[in-house]
Amino acid sequence: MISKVINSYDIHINGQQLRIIEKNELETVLQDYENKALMRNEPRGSKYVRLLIFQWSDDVLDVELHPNESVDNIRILLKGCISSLVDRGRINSKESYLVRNNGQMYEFQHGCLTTEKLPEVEKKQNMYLVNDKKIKVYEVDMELEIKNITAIKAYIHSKQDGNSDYLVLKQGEKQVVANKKGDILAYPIIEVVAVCAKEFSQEIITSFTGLKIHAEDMQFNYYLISNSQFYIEHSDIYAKGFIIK
Amino acid sequence: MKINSKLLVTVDTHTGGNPTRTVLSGMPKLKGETIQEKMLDMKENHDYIRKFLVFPPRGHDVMSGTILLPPLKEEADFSVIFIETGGYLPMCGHDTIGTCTALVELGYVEVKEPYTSVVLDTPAGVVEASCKMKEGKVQEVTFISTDSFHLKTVYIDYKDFKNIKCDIAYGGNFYGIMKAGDLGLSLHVSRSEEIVEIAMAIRDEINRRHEVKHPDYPFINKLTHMEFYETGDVVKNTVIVPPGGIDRSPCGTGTCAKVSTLYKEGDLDLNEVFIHESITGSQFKAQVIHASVKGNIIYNRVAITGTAWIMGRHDFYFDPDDPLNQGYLLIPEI
Repeated sequence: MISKVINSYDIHINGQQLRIIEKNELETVLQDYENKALMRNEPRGSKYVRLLIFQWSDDVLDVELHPNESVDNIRILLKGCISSLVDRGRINSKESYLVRNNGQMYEFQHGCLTTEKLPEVEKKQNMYLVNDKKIKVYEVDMELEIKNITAIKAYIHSKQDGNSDYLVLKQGEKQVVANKKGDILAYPIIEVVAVCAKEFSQEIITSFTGLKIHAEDMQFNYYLISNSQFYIEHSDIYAKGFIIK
Repeated sequence: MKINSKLLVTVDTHTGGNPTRTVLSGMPKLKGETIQEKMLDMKENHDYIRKFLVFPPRGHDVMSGTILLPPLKEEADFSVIFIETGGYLPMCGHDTIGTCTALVELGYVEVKEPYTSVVLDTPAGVVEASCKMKEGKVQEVTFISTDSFHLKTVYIDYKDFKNIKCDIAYGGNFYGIMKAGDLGLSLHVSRSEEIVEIAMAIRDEINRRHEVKHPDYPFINKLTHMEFYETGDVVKNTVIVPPGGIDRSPCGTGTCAKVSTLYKEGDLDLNEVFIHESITGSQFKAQVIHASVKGNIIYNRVAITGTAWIMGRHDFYFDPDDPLNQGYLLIPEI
């Protein structure tokens, strides 16, 4: 019998999935069950889900992010979330919005909710430094297509040294990006886009999924995936779910 | 937010951890008089809906589902098409358990206690599921498999591991069944990437070296799934499904293949209950309820019992302007 209902909605920005839930939806819990973990983990979520919990405090949007993978493009994710809340009538449209995440305060202008300025790039030996991220780029001959994923993964693992935050394989305008753990990321990373635009003079960047990004100031939209109502039953065998990579 | 997007309404269940996204409404009219013809029409003309529903960012690597249609056969309650990231299946055990649970608990079929019957018209034939009920909740679902059998045993080398036994058995798909310890593996979620990599390499090697062909349906002519197991009081298994994911449940058709192998080897009697446990700890029960011999093959009918839980209802919006409205998959499609 269903004992707990949680309302939420999912969006994606360039393939990065956000599951957005208002904090009060999670306040009551079934004994032994963990709401946040259940919303993020399988079988309700997946390794791709980033759970975003929000609540209003005075005029500030307080946000908690709970990812199963790394949190990349945080400013873009927060802007996408605000855009969606404005579109749903959960926030009145204003000139600017204050957001607090993990002790840090962000202010976003309404006119900039769908663009993000590319950060500066500094080259240091064989590494690029962008924001606080270290990026290594390898120009390769291999075809960067899904059908070659095994060879691509093997190449990435052979180049991993634990020093770089992102490892980029680049062939023409196409790129594959892996994070520090060697996991391939399906979405464009703004720091990598900055390197491709500023150091390799790329105007168009094609991500591994085929998504094309115009590499000036990064333009993006959020897309609504679903309006959802999740259920938890007392008899469910998973109290917090699981993640399988 | 575009309100003029195409809307698909689903109810999601999990069967021992494996998801089923049952599509309740929003499908275009599919051409054909039979469920096989409608499945073919969906595959040829509406495959974007499958990708939209099961690929990330809406689904994930092993998301699967059913398209629910009005019954095309008189005896059926509904006709269904099984979809997953790898494509279309004629029959799927965990999806049958999940969809039947949703249909009963949401009142789409007449509920009777202690057992409610749900009849599905599937591309593999009519499947009757028996749902054990208690206070409106489905406790467990039992269905009878199509003919399952052990085909042959082969021996393969993998890296430093030589002459490893692999039983090839059919339970709706062909499974290569191997003891995990023979490959230096333990069946733990932390080793899932390694499990998939080894399984796919061995499967491809077996397909290169051995003929795997259904004796009655020669178009089923490849080993597609691998199944690793660990022995113990309860047999633990991990089924690796194409294009390269781990079944979170003990796998209905994989369990049919397993019990057919045990039955052939004399390790399981007719009607003896066998318990299969998945990598996530969920369990299915299985019994060989009928066996017949044709040529040198023993054909089994297997009763599979498992439990599913409703976990959510979703309104999915198909936005034609979304560049990822057919999702993406970071594993090669087959």
